[in-house]
Amino acid sequence: MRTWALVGFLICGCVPQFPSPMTAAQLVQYNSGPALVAYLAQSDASPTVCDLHALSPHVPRMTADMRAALVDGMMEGKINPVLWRRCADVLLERLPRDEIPSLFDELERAYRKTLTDSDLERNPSLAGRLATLHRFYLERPAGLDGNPSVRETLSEEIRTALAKGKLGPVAAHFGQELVATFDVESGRWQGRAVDAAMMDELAASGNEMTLTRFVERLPSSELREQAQRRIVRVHIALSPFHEVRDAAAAVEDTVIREGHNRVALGKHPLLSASLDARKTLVRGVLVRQRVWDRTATLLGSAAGRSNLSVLPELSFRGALWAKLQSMSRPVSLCGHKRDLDPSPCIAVEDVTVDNALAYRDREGDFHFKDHVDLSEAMALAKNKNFVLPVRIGGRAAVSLDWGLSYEPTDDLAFNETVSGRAGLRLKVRVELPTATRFVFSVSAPQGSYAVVVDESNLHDFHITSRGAPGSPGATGSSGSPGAAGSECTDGEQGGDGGAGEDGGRGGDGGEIVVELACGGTSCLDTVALLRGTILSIGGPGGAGGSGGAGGSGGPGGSSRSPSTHINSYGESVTDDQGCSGGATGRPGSNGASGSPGRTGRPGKVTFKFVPPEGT
Amino acid sequence: MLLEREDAAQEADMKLPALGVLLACVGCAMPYAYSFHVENPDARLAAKPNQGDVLDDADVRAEILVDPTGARAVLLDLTNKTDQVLQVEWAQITMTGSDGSSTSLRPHVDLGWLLPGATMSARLVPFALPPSGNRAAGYQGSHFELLVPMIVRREPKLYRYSFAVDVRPI
Repeated sequence: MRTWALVGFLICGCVPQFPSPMTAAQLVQYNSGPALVAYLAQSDASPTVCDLHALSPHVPRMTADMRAALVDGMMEGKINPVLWRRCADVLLERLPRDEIPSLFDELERAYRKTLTDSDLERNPSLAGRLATLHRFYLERPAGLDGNPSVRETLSEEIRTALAKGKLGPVAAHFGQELVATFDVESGRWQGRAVDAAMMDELAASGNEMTLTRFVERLPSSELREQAQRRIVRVHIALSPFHEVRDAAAAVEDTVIREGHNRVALGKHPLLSASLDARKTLVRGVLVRQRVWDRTATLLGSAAGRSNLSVLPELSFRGALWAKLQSMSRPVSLCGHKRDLDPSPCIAVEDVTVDNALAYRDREGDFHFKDHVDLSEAMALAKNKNFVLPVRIGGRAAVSLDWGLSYEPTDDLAFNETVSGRAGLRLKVRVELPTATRFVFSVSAPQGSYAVVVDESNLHDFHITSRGAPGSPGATGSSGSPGAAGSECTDGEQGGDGGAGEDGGRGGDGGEIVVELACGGTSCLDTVALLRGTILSIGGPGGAGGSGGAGGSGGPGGSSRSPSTHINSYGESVTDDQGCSGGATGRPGSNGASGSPGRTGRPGKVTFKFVPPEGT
Repeated sequence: MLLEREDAAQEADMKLPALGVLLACVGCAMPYAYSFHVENPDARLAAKPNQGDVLDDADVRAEILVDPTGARAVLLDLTNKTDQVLQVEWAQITMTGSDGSSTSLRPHVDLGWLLPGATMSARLVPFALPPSGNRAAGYQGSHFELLVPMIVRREPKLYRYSFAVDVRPI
């Protein structure tokens, strides 16, 4: 079905096109499977769009079209498997229970198809994508699964295929692990019933791999918790924190109860903090302004990446490290509960970012509003960089500075349209919040507008008040047609066309008052710079009217036939020689065109120096 | 369904030799052998074809043999040279290619930690490359990196083993 749909798309040229970059908000507007794939295929795309309850923009529901597109998008190599897994994980958390079997059935379709694809045995990328599906299924939360009959059929088929040696080595690896995991769901592992003694043996050998299978797939919650405890014990034994090893039993209980070992910052106040440069995202923020709509979009750039993309989410786990009082080693943010990490950690709720456009999601990662009001975009301009000051427990910890730039915009052109009228009177306030950035706020009769321009783009940007074009001159009157000739005479010449009217004078440019808050820079230099930017321009003169067309010549008179009679001698006598018809009269001359009107004069541009806002 | 497809594939397999001859005649299905050589400084390259290259530091000795067409696996022998248990994050091992591809590899059986002085052999699967044809030849001169996260002396440590690939017709 999908293939035919694709063929249909290709034939009629209807393959959906999406903007690039596509923000999460735009994805919500498109709200389709192909749009979801296009969004997730971008660098720095956030899996939060898959969170049906997210604070940030997200798909409103997971339709069948989206489920299929999501699975196929990853298997076809369009969506990064790591990102796909995060999207799929959050879907499992948020999807209504009755929709989850359909998602797994979709996975099963792709899984079955790939397992029998001969390319699997020679294509590492395909094997990697199948591994992503495989692990997602094996590591799903207890109690969630596809349609039982679909699962039973797959299980039987794989067992038989393995027994008959019908799978290649790569496919067999996946099949064997799947079958072994089905056994765990029955409470058995390698032919033995899973019990505490088996788990102790595994913990003693540090075998987290098998214990993790037990945590994920054992049928009873009691056994799963027993497996969790063994994993925590392995982690405690390996922990570099003596505080953890010394209080092993208490830490084990805490991790089992809460999922991590949160530090009380009241008891262990922050001493200092640092960011691990290897794990800290560094991006440039580009503001794309839509001045007339008074909105802006924030996009991200990265070193070594040629294209713009969306802004990434920001996770401080493993990147932000804090030295705390009475703690032997630096600690980072608490990880996911499934990690069962006993390391002392800072709760995500204890970390804040002082940036009006940043907000924390439920998982503790920070996101950025990417569609903002222009006023918010202007507020950003106050800092040279996109600054992300981080606080831990309310105390200033570190600051992350990303580059900030404003994309060049179209001119702010205010054009009077009523012929000959002077341009609009404008008041322009110019602030220089930084040495290389200009903020223009324009008050015009139809409203107020603002725009931020980086100095490097100033030479291509203008604010103009232009007078209206002069009215066009009227076309000259047409000449009258010549009178018709009488019989055998020529028509008379047509009358000459009248001269066209001169075009009207263009309107003068509007008066502009510029209030310049120079801040720390030289006002005179700035004025010189701005004289090429803020312009009052006279409207062009109206075009002269074209001359009237000469009248057409009168038609010639009609001809007359000769007339004869027969006299008494029987001879033919000509009474009248007759005559030929008259010629058409000459047309009149066209009238002369009017002269174009004069261009309007530029209006007055006055600069006033004012103190910067807030001083 | 799975078996039906496999049966069909088996039928197709019957036709493969004939097809192979045909393709070989036009030079499209040339079989190739891969050699992966560890590029890290101080690596000791294998003396014999079926031995792995060896790389070690003060804590860990690794012997690595990459077999992408036979075992379709990376054979990794690790020795813990420390006096403490050494944990390998077996579920977090990846092989990345110079083309940007990344494959998650896991031991074919579940493994635990290495006691001091112990050696553990892991067959990391799946790692398969095309055995013949232009796609195989295209790997000549490519590079891969095996990333093995470990906890050594209670500290997380990421071991990176880099490989240069030599592809030769058989």
